[in-house]
Amino acid sequence: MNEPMVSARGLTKIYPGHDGSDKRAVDNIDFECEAGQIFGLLGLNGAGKTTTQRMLSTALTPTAGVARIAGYDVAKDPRSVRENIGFLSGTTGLYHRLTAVEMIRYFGELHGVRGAELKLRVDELLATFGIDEYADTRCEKLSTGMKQKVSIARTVVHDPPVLILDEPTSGLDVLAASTTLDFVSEVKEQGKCVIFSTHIMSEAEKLCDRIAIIHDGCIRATGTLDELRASTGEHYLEDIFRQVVQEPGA
Amino acid sequence: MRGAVGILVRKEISELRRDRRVLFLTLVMPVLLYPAVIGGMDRMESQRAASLHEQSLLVGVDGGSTVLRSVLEGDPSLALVQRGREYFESAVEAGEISAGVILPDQIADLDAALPDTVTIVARLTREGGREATRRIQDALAGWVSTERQARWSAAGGRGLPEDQLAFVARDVSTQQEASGAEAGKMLVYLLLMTLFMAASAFATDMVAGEKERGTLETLMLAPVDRRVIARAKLLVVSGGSTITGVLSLMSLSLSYRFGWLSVDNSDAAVLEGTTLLAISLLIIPLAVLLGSILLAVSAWARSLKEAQYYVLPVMLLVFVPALLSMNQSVELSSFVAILPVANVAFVMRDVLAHRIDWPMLVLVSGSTLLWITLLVRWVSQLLNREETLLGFDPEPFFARTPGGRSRALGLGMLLTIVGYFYFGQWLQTQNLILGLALSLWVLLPAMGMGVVRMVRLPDLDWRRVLSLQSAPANSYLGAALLGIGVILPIIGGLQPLAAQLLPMPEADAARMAEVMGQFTMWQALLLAALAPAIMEEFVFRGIFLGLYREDNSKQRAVVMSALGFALIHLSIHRFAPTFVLGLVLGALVVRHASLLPAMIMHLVYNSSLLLGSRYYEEHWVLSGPPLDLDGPLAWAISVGLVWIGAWLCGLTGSLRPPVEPVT
Repeated sequence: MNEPMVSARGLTKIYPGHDGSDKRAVDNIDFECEAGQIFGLLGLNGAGKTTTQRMLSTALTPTAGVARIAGYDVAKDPRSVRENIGFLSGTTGLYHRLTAVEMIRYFGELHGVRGAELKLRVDELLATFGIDEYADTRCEKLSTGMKQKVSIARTVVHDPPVLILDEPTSGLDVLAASTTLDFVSEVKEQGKCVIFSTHIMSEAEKLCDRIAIIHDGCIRATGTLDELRASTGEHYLEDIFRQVVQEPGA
Repeated sequence: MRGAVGILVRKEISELRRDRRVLFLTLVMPVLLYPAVIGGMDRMESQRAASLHEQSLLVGVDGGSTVLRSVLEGDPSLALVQRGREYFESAVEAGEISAGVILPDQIADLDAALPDTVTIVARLTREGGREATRRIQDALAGWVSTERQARWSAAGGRGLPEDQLAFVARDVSTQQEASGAEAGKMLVYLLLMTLFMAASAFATDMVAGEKERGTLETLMLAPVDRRVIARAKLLVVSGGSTITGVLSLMSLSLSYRFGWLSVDNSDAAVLEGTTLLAISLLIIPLAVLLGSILLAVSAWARSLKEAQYYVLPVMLLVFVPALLSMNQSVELSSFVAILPVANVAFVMRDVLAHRIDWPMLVLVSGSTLLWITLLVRWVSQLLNREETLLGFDPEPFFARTPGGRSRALGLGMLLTIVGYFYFGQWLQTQNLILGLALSLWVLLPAMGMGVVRMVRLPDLDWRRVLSLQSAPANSYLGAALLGIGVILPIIGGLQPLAAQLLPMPEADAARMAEVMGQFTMWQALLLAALAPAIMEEFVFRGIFLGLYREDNSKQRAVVMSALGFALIHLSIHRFAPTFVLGLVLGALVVRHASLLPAMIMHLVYNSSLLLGSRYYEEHWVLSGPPLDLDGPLAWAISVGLVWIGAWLCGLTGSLRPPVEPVT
């Protein structure tokens, strides 16, 4: 049996607290996601979505458990994991004094894409996202939507098989958000594996093949939308979510 | 109204006390930084004064009445050599004498109208030359004053006593030296300021700024080693500030050359040729040092603003010792040579005044390289920390994590060292023998146990952690042989080498000998051999090494415990030998998970030194072994003993995991 593109087993993150107690930000979660799938992490603010994705992206080291991406262990081989992922979050920034094309090229080079291959890839991305016209504009002068497009182009410049998107539409206006969502659908069609976190139900409903509802660091329910509907007896994801997080003991 | 004020004040205080910037600026800086800076400066100045005061300065003398000559001969701070006056200038330049004095052949009646002239030839840009001139003037003027007072009294208090010896100081410093010394007062300061400002602008933006703008996380998720990222950023920071420094130096040089600074032509030579090149080259280590310090600050801070808060105290900390270089009377000593930034500033000043002390330059280069390596390593570690990357609150200082335990252990070691030194010293001033016994048998283990409590490890097998187990019998014999075998390499090899760079002042050596002289042989063996062998091993190799090993590698634990062991001897002059001894003792403990071999080696080593001191020359422990113990045969025997001892102890391979202990 082929190994899933992304898998987490017993993944846990504990932060030592200032009062001597430990906070379990993520508590023993399991999930997996195949290539060509979008796996949604749905939860309230502070539920553990970002911590989970940061462990997957190697920014944080798991306190316990194992996570593997494209066959590499995030704790044991973080460099190989980084070669295989693209990470984007709502708070990801751009270098204000670099132009759009310089920004994309810089991250391409950091990921080992060089020379003609890099030029071709950058041109392709500029055309795909319709930012050719602003290629030589400094990032600080771009509109929010344009900035988001540059961020996305930066994330996929090395054509990674796995994308980790942490509330990528957070703080964006409707048009910029739809650009992002269109991009996510497109990369799924290209066969990439996407871990997508959000607290906006409609986004999860529209995009995700499978959804995990995460609350207080634990996965409370997981499955396709239909499976979640069947297990809760609710139709709308918002109602499903409310029922799951308000269950006794949740 | 009053209630509202209280509520507001409480809220503000609650917020402020949780803000580490405020804590740093209001508590750490005034409590630690200022006393440390001022105390350090004061200590340097008093050490310099004491060191010069102890020296008898060699002075060439020519001509002169027997009276004046005998006055100078009677001054214990001067050592006279009879030389012709034509020889003075070259001898002063070569550093053979501190000054030459030309005395008048005959002194006229002290009441004569014209004074007799004493000419002093010295290099007044050097501390030795100025000090010799002052001593000569003081000695002769003192004699004149006493003599005239006697005559005035004998004459019934008539007439006015006037100076009858006129002093002419002839400075043999070249114009370049004199101008360089003057320029050194300001130029070094200006260069430091320029480099610091440039480096702080680059460094704060490059890490803290990136953190704030949200680009650091993206960068760190690229498949690039974080050490490489740290080095690249350091390269840019130090390169940028080097360029800034060199540009300002060039601009200054041109300004001198074209007379834009309205100085006389002689000053134009200050910043030309080899001097300009040397100063430009010295900018590089200075820029790298400042860059790595500021990058570390920037990585440590959670935001750009917080990093900018730290720039001022850091500037104070690195600048104040360096600014001592503006005072030409403070010399580049071995202590200054190991202070980062200050050491290079002193070399810069000396280069400007055309005086280079090559051994000091080697020490400065070595210590600067070491500081840079340590700082770059620290920046890399900071960049690897999750809280740095994501701008989190750092974990609590004493968190029950490996990091928290290491910090608690480091702090505990530091408190033990400082507490043992001050409290132990106080005990010993009350009663030397009882005080020493209490320090070793009670104070040291009590402080060590306090550290165990601070570290708060979960329930453990303490016999294992503290290495309170037995070892194979042959390792005891091996440890004893090692104790004898390492004496010559340490005392005859390492100690003299260290003394070349950091010579121990005679006064310190004499003081140690005096203290040891107060013990009988048995007291000395009990208090300076047996007690340290048991208690220092229990605390440093048992507690500190054992606790470090729980969260760190064996090698790191051995090095850290040896470092603490060397520091507790609180003498920079004995640091290298005690550190190396600590490494060997640590390796012994790790090998068998037992303190006993290390205790035996320590006991044999200390006892041998004590017995050697009693039956050979007193100071051989500090100044190297007597000649008859320093020949090839003695070295061959020592090496043989070390090899056999190491073999018996199982140390002949690399540090291997401990064998199953014999319990």
